[in-house]
Amino acid sequence: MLRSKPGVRFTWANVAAALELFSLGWRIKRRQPFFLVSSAWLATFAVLPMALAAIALVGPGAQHIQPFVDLAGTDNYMAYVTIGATAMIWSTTTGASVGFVLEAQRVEGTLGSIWSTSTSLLARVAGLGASGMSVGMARTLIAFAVAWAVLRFPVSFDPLALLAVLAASTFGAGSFGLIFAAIVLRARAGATLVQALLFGMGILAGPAYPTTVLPDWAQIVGQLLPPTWMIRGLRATLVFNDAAEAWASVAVLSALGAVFGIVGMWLFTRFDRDARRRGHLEAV
Amino acid sequence: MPLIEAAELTKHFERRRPPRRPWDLLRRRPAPETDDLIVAVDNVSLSVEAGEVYGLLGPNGAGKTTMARMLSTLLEPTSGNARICGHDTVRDGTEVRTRIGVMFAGERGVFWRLTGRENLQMFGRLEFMDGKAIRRRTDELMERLGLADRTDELVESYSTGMKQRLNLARTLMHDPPVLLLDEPTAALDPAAARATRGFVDELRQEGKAILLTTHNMYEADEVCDRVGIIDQGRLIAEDRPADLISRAGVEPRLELMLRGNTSAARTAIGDAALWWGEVESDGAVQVAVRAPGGWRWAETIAQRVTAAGAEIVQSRLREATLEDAYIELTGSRLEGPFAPV
Repeated sequence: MLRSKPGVRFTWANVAAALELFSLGWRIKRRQPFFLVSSAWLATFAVLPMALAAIALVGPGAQHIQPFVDLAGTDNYMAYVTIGATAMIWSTTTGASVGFVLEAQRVEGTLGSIWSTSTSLLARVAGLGASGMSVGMARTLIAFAVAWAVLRFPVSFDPLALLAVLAASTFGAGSFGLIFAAIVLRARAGATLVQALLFGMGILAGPAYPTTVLPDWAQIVGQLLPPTWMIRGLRATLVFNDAAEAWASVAVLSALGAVFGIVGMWLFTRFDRDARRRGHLEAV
Repeated sequence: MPLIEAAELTKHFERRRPPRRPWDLLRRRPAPETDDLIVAVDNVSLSVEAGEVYGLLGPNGAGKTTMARMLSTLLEPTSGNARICGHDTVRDGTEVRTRIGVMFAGERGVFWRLTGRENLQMFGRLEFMDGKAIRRRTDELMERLGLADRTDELVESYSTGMKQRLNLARTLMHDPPVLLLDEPTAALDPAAARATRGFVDELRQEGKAILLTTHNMYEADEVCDRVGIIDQGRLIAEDRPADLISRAGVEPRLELMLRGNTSAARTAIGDAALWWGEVESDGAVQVAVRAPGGWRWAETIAQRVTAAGAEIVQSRLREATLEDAYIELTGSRLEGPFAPV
């Protein structure tokens, strides 16, 4: 038996345990063939109406495009809106993933079994969170691909910058999600509250419009949230092909990810202990 | 050194009441008054040595599961402390978790949409086992628990008893020295329950310290080296089953079915009666009578009853059991021949 003394072997065992939890979600989803297809379809239905509204607003032959160009700085309105909407859904599912996985384990009655194993809290959270996040990412990619196949808007990008934006976005939104996972641990039916909060924050991120249309206070709050920078970074690479802006987003997302990661883990540990004190840990 | 130790362990829960208005949920609640607290476990101390099965026996809501949860680190005590292999369950949670196997009542605790093998593989990894050890242990446990032919089937197709056995296999995967088994035979049929009890006995012989909660008296009597009776959160008695029976002062009882002049028989039996049933339509009545002297006393009672004009239709002498001791000690309000008069 491996004792819990800190060291390379212990760390590696925790990494292996986190990877096992990561694969758990996929193994279960693989046995629900309609889950991924139907949830990707739902995501598509959330993206397409925004793009269709943009088409209606610019009018036939894009004759009313100028006000949009003045605000957004591009006439590629279809890509602008679709990428923004897709990124908002991605940020919401990523942010909610850790909390949703926890809630699912609670409902299935397996949370106590996982929580009483030797694996560290960090590895448990990382494994379950990564599993939920990767499912959310796959879902979003399908939604984006469907939207692109239907609307056929032009995109151009620097692969390295795109990869960096995707990685930093996952880190930023995942760390942000730890705070919401802590809420799920603390409150009954917290997952519903988390989803509502995350969708609300999506408004501040400017999914289908530039954030400059928002009131000043909303713009300031939006700057502190990862979804805003995820959308900005993805638009910088895919719409504007602006490497400097893309890397700036990567830097901000990494910084926000570090801050939210530390705060989120502190809060999660605190609420985990609180749940153990109150007996809420496994309460549905 | 005992592998499981609890010292003055206490757990209070706040009473949960529905909010009167929806916005009450958002208000910060004041610290609960004493009346708003439920004392789930009250000052319980116990210890379990290696190679010993300790049965925590009590009615529903007595605090058995709360005790198991506190020892498993899933619940923090309000006061007192518990140690597993010398490690404090609150301060050294990780150290404790590497040394325990926890199984809670019911068929939950394993993933229904995975196969039995996948479940054990996952929990093996979470207990830091390598691939080779996981494969070897999975085959060994599935064989021992009679699940070998269903290892690669989805758990959702298992029966309740099979799910519970898989849950036990999960608990034993990393071969921990301490086992916390919360009603391990609760949903099992008699044959499966007997097999599980045999398995617990094997685990005792392997030197494991086992805390087993149950309200099955037969199970406690058969499997446990020592039994603690817990009622309303308090440990009211603790001893070997045989000693507990003699300590509780419970005696053998004579169970009779009488007919004829039963009211005169009741007078004749007097204070020795433990329980007197309703007169049935055929005029028969069931009676339980104290029989401290065994058959010799039974003969005396029979003579008194016959002399009073009643006929003994059936008679049976029952030795005192752990169940009698349990009822005596908890003052259980059961109806029927087991209830105290």
